[in-house]
Amino acid sequence: MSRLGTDPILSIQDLDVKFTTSEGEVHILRQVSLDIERGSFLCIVGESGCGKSVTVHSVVQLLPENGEITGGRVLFTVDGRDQEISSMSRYGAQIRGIRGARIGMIFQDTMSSLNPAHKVGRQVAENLHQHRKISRREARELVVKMFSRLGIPDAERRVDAYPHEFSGGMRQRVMIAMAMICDPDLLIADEPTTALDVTIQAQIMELLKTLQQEAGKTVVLITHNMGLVSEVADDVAVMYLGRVVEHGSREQVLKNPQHPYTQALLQSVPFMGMDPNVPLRTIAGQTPSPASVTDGCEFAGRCPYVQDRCLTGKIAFRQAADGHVARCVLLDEDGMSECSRRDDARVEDSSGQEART
Amino acid sequence: MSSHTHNAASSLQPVPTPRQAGRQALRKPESSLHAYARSFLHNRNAMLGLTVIVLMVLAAVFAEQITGYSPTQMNPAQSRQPPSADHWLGTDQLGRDVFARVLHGARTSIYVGVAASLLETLLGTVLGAIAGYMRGPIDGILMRISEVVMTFPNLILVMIFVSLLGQGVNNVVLVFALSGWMTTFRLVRSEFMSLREETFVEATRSFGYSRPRIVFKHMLPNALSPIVVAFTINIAHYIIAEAGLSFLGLGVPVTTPTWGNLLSAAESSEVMKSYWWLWVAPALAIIIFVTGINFVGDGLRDVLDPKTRRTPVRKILRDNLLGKRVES
Repeated sequence: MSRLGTDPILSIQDLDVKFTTSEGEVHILRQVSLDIERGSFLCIVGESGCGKSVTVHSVVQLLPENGEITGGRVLFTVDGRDQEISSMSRYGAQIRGIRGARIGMIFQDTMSSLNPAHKVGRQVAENLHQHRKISRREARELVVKMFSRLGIPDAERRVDAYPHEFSGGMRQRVMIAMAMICDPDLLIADEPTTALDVTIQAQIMELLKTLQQEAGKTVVLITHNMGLVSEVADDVAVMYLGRVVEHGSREQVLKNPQHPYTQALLQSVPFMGMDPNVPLRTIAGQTPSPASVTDGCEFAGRCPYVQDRCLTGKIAFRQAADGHVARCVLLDEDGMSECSRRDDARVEDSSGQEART
Repeated sequence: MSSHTHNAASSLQPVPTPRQAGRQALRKPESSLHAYARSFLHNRNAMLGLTVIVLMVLAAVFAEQITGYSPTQMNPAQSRQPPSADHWLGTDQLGRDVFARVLHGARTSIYVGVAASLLETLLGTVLGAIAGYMRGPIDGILMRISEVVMTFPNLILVMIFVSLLGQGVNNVVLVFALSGWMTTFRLVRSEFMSLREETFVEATRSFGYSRPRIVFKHMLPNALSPIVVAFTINIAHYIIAEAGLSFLGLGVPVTTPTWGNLLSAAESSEVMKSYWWLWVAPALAIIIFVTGINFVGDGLRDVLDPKTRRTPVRKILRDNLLGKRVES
């Protein structure tokens, strides 16, 4: 069960992904369900290895060769038409018509996400040539226009430069231009600012936010930076060990987190004005290997509120408020109010903390 | 790496005034071809190699005009003459002018070297690119084929192919390409295997490009520099291989002069000792040409690879020796 969306552009339903490794099959995603509202800004948060990237990569059929979608489905809805992406072949013309044209992707590593051998303008135009019949001159004009729109100064001249002549922030803008040039409906940004400094990070985030608000794009941002989430997100999905554990609006998830993992995650974010002598809260224990958790709640081993019924069976989503769900048994009873007791003011404070990850 | 060198180089320059900086910013960026050419022209070894190659190719093209002798015209009265004003490099046992034969031999030898290397590189690159990008069963099959071909001693393989195809200039080219594509194949394959993991290749996938487009338009230019280097060095290799094969009488038919056919004159120890000009001339021609090729290959690598592009040595020396030291 997931949130009821009125008009989801992308609907991920019970997605299962397995990877074949030298140690056998590993279940990386388990019944991931997410509805992404058209025109919204969704942040997917969670620690490294929790399946954030795998989720969005399976959405566009870009899993590594040893990864495979073994269950569930992904529905992509544009122009009132449902397309089941999960059943398309990886390199088929169908999915290739969606990738780049309908769904644009922005990658984490600004240093290596552009081809060093081609001029940036040509790389951006290439995407146009792939998806539209367009002359070189028209394509170039569109690229120059897109560059100026994305705040690349001296665009007319810069389209003829090579990636190594750009700074990290400018490269990320070029990358966004590549993703945006075909006017996609959905923009997926996989930790787009990890390699950038704080000021540039703020600029790029502002840019993504503008694209969402003014151009009406749907943006999915993968991050582990709670500060960013509190600034840009409309909706937040929290993932842990290959599952979505909580999903709701920004206010719901950040101010009233229901899952013990989300609570712990928020408490471990440092904030301006905190007592420097008090050690930062951490989550006890280590993230278990995805292969070791087969039954019950995957967070049970580290959860301070663990009970017997957490350890076995399937833990279903429970509704906390309208559009706010979490996979935790504590939501069933009054005990919840006690464990969700926390300092609400902290979240507002931490919103100024996007520098800290 | 490159950004470091760029920074280092720019910090050696005097700081431009805002006005100069503004003017520089307005200048159109230099085209890449132009930049490559300029950088290549500043590479002393490469230019030396290129000069030697061009001169030798010109000499081969204008062989008739330069010597005035036919390479096949026999003159028993002039048998085995040492170098003289009439015959600059002497004559062979049939009285043919050695200089004329070396120049005409250059035509065939260079043709065989370039054509074999081109064909081999083409074959190895296409197969290597496909195998490296696709992996899986296609890669497995191609790898097994290349391993099987490599288990045969190269000379034996060449001899088998020659006996199957028969002698002849173009057959030699074909034989070399068929027996030598594995090295380029493996080089390109490993290059593509690492390239396919690069984020920019993933990015091209995420934009829905077709596989041929990703492989040949986006990945190949990034793998080009080792291929170019391999191509040039292979020219040298096949010129030597042709010489060896012709020396054994298996290469180009003896009626066609090649450097290898000329060298085979030195098969007898009598020639080795008493008639040195018969083998020194073609041997020197091979050595000089092959060295020139290798110089050009290295120069091309310096220029073509955007990752190893560096400031010309001369500029660094000038800036440092003339007192514009970097203050650290």
